[in-house]
Amino acid sequence: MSARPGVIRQALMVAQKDLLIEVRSPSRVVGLFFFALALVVLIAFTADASPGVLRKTAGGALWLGLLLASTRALDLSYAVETDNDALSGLVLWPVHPAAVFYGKAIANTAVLALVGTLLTPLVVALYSAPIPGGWPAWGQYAVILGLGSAALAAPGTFYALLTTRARASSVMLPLLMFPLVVPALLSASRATTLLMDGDGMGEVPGWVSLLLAFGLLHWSLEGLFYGSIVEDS
Amino acid sequence: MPSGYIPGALGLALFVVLVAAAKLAGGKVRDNWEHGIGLYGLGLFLWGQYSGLFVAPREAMMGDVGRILYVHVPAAWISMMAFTWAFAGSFGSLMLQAPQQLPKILGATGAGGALGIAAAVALDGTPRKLAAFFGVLLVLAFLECLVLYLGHRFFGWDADSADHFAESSTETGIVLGLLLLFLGAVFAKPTWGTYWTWDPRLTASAIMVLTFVGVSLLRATVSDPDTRRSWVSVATVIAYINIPITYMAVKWWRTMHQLQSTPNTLDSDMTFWLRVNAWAFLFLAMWFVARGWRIAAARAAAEAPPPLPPAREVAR
Amino acid sequence: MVDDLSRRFGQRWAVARASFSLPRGEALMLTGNNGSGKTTLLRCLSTALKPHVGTARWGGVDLWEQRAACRPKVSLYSHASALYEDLSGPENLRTWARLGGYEPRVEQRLAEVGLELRPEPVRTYSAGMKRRLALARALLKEPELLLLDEPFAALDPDGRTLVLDLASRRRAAGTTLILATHIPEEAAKLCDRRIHLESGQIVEVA
Repeated sequence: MSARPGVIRQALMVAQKDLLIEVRSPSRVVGLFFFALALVVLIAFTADASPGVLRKTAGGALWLGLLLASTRALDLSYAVETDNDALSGLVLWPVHPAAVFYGKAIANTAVLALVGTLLTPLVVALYSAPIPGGWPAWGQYAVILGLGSAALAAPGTFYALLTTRARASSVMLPLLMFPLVVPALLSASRATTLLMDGDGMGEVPGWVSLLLAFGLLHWSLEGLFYGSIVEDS
Repeated sequence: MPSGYIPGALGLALFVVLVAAAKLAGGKVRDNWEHGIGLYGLGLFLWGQYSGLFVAPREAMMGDVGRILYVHVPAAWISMMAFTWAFAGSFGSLMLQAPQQLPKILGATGAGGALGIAAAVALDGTPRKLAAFFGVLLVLAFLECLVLYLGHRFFGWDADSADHFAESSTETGIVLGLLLLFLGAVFAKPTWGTYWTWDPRLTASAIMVLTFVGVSLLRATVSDPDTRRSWVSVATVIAYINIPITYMAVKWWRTMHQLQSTPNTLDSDMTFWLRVNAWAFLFLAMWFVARGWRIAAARAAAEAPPPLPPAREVAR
Repeated sequence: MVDDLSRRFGQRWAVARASFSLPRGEALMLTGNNGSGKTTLLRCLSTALKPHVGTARWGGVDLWEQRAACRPKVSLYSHASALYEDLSGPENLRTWARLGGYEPRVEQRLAEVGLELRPEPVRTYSAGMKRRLALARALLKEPELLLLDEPFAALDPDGRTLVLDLASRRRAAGTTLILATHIPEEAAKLCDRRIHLESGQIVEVA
């Protein structure tokens, strides 16, 4: 018989399992994409601004769309666990709570980054915000997209568990999560806008490091505390 | 003008005496010591507010509008302090889940803190800053655990009572925070011509208050007391640790747009009245927190589980 | 092995002062009406719930305090199937097997419950098929202590025979069984001991 896998391998298996579920029912990601797209379009409508001003709001619109889509994504990510109480099945199997957290957080990061990638050409077109600077700038953009998705996924994975287990109303998750992710939202959208609108003062690396610091802080804090939430007390 | 620290020192001495007296009397007198400190705070508040409005000199740049300072600034300081208490209570609640571990943790954090400080003295440059940062963090953790240990030993604190303290502190912090935001808007209108200037400190405070409102609502959502305690403790700790990074982000975001200068031209008279009012807010906050602590404990006692039903005869 | 165990939900004691012991390899049936505490008792034994009072031990070890060590030895089969509806039956079993390091057992478990080749998502399975798959999942662990909560619910006569057959084979191999049901007739073929619960308390031991 093969040995029980360690925490890291278990985390990767949980992530793989979540992503396999996304692949098996692609309508979920498609739905998320159109939800985020609708927001991005509506923000552009309501802003009612000239192309130059619109370009300055592109980053904000993209990340606001992703943030709101993330609450749906997180609810869905726990819906598959609570349908048949698979979550307590995982805990009793036993899968280490940290493995459950990191696995689900990795999967949620991937889903958000995918939705963000699909959204990118549309934001560029709708906000007349091309990214000048060729491949290096696009590389920076990819880093921001990845880090930003990760920064939203960690608190999201944590607080979505709280609100799911509390059977709280669906406003609880935004209420707990949105104020907390303000630094991530701010730095990701500023960095994105600067890439699109020109970064005269070289601020992008600063915002990216802030995003990274936020991500590291929350990936470690919430991983540490996940066990005390997922276990009965 | 005498030193603005005197009213505070007196109040803190009064606090220690009242708590010690209540402890030593051991139930023979009513141990509602917080009324003493609260009435002292109320006296300071009336004196400080009257003097702020009518005695203190007019603010050089803002005129009489500047007198809002005597409410606005204390509210800002003390709401931050109340959230710090909430963090201490929640962190304490998590630590007190295993009070027998406290001596071990005391040893570890004490040694680590001393090592960090020593390294900070010996090193230079970035390593020095890092060592000092972690050293100070560990020393703070050590002090917190020391207070927890003593409270556990002599006042019977446990995970639940620490959580009740956090609950009461969070509520006090939210009330003071809302006051601070409201006054910020009132202050901004005549000074800058708009109710909200997106001043980094006010904006960060607004986000902070919102975060703790979320935590407070979470507390209202969860019905099982044990689950509620552990979840809210964790949420409070995360919310508090997030404050500095929010502040950094907001400040940086604003300074890129405009440099906001807060007039910093207080003469010593104004400093004195500001301190009197800040102490008044502190002691009033202590009063609120202590009363809220008792109320939370009483509510918890009321929802305590019913006793086990009597054992039944087992047929074999 | 269960000593004065009590668990409450809110203001209600779902299980109160439950004490009994069960030698290894025996099979025990828990009976009682709905809400008598059978499920709560099983969930405490499975380490899903923490007892508020008292302890449950397995092999001399406190189940809750040592839950990380005990969980691989205990398996719970209940109405909560812990299956992922979007994955197929074999995918579900393989996922769970990989998480626990039980891959070599997958084919055998699938064969036992007769679901070898069902590539459709579990969502499309009938209730009985889901139950069989859930049973196969619970048996992946090859537990020392197998907890069965209403194992016959939503199963046709063939399914019940299958459950009885699989459970008695496990028992013959030395597994300890605890089974909660309010249809004692079927379970009586399997269990030689019985505990009857009424509003959370043990009232009869046979």
